Amino acid sequence: VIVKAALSFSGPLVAGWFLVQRLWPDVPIALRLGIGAAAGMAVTGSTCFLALLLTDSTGTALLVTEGFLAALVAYSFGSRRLRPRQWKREWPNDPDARIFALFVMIAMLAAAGFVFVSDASRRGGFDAIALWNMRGRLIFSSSTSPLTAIFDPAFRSLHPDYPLLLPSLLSRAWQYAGSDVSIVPILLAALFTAATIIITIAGLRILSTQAQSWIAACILLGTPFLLGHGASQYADIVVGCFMTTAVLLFCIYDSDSSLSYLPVLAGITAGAAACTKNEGILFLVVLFSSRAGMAFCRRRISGIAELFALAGGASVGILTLAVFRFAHSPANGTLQLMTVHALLSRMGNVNLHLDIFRGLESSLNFGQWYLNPMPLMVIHAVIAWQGSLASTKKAPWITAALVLVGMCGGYYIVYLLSPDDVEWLVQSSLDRLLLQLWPAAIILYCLIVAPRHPIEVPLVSSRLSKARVATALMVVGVMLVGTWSLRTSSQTAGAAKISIELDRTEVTTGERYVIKINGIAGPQVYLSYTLNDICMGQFAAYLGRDNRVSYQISSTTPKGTYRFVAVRTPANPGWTQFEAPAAISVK
Amino acid sequence: VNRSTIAKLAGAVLIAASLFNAAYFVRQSYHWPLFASDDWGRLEEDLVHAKSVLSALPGGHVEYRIEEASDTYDVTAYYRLQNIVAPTILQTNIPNRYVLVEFWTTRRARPLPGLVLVEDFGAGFALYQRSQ
Repeated sequence: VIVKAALSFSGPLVAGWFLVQRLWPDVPIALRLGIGAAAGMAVTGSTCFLALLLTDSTGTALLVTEGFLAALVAYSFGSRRLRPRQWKREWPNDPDARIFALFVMIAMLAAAGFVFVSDASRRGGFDAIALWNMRGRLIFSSSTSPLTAIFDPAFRSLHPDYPLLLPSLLSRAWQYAGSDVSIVPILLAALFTAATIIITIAGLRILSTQAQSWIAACILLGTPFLLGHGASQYADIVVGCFMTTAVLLFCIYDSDSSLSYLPVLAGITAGAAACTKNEGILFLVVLFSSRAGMAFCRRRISGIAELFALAGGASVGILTLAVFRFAHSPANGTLQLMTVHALLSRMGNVNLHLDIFRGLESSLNFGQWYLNPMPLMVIHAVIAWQGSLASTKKAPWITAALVLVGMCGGYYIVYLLSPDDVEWLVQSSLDRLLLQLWPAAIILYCLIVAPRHPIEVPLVSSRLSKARVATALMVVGVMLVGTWSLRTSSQTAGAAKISIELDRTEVTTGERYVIKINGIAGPQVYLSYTLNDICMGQFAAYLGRDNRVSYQISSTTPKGTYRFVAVRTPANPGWTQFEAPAAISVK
Repeated sequence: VNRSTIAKLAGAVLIAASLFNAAYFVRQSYHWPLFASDDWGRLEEDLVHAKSVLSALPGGHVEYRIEEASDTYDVTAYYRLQNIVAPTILQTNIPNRYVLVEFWTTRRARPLPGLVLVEDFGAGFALYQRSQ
């Protein structure tokens, strides 16, 4: 079964390998492997997803996908190949052997950690269980209509507007394996995590120095959240891999515009990102806008051709997404609220801005590092920044910078317009969103501190030291104060007496009520509760900075009297009973 | 201070930090033995027959009810079960002719008011039919 499951990935990998070779004949082998894996999975997932939407049949979708992959391989073999050209390998002498040895050590530790986490949560984290893998199983096992099963009212609360690229890939692999074995999502998670790291290393070997590419690899492999989250089988690593590929391809294209097919490859992966998660749609828009802006500024006809190539590559993904959005998926709640009026009215709400910034402050250690590398990276980038980098005609770092700024701006607007509790939303999602952008941020860092053709400036001048060191110290100061204040607040909260309060005693459908819990270190806690004095188990809650969490009563919420009896933190399995349990009646 | 010295220093510190982080990650996630059987796998084995019975029910839907829930029960248990019995869809708040009941604490089926026992699957799961 494992061999069959692994074999299911060989088709996309082979197709991706030949596709990359066809469009970029002299691509280095490691980059061909990494981009080939990402592009192959992008093509396979988008095709399988589209075929599923058009046929509503798992078997037919598989046949169409395999046929398309076979045609792609045949095209890559049969068509006239582009003339290979040699890269100018002018890397400076780096202490490769020592850095490489350390890289191998870190890679072995990271691989071991990945195996341990995969084994501990071999069925995946909560989102994998409730969203991605479950949808994959519904597609795989449904003998009649997979789409009817996915959009069943029983799963109405499970974001039915999320695209189905990842579930389609899972279903395809399970069809090969013959059963829904748990090794398939583990292998897929490992594949995308490894591809992200390989693409970053191999891409930076072209754009930066060899030593810097190994340092970037060490930073990525030394990010526990990247590995742990990858092993938890969430879609964030998948969408992050597609984003990284697209950004890197444009960075390479900007350093050598004779590689005119790279925007097509970037478009394929960007389109797949849009078919994986809603953040991918934002990414596609930001990437296209960035490139359109750059084409406008450069005022060159090749910029228009590049945009067409990008759109052409992304066309399958965009078409798939359009069919999904207009024919099947319910509307996205946040998108419906995106009006100019709503944006203007919410922009004036200072508390919303403060909530978002507080969430950002608490997400500064999103990588779950023991030693956070970000302050040093910021200081190093500020010190190493050269004015000549900005004036360079071909600036490989610009796309990465524009995408990072655009994505962060987009996330900010989404948080601002979200109908959900902003504090909860930021706390529960920002670390994952930042993780998606982390490889692109590392690429940007490397392109600033070690561009491929560095301009030698031997001494740090006094002008440089004053302004830049002040900026760097400010950034580090903010990070340290943020971390210190978080630790202080959690320690203070832990020492107090635990109590619960509700803002009302009765509530009806459509209304909200607020739970306030004092004396416990949040933000995440678990509450145990009863319904009509029958124990119903526990549920997770995210407490805001004022220790509050609000809930809305939906039409499916069972009626009766809810009593909240005990609370615990994720780190402590022992329950603390409330001295005076709070109760509310749902009418 | 030379730029290349700064670069070397930064690189060395970043690699050292990455080594610490990777070691910390292994320390946090280490456990032994690997690949031991888990609750999910055991439940899958226990519910092989139940899955086939449920998939043969008309409509593809069944009501799911939890009895004797304790503090250890949470919504993950529902999704775990839904993954195992797919393509049958478990409805939590929509009444259905057939009701799959999970007895969380005792793991033993017992008579329930308003329901007629159809089959006891064992492991705390039983299929009931509404008497009306």
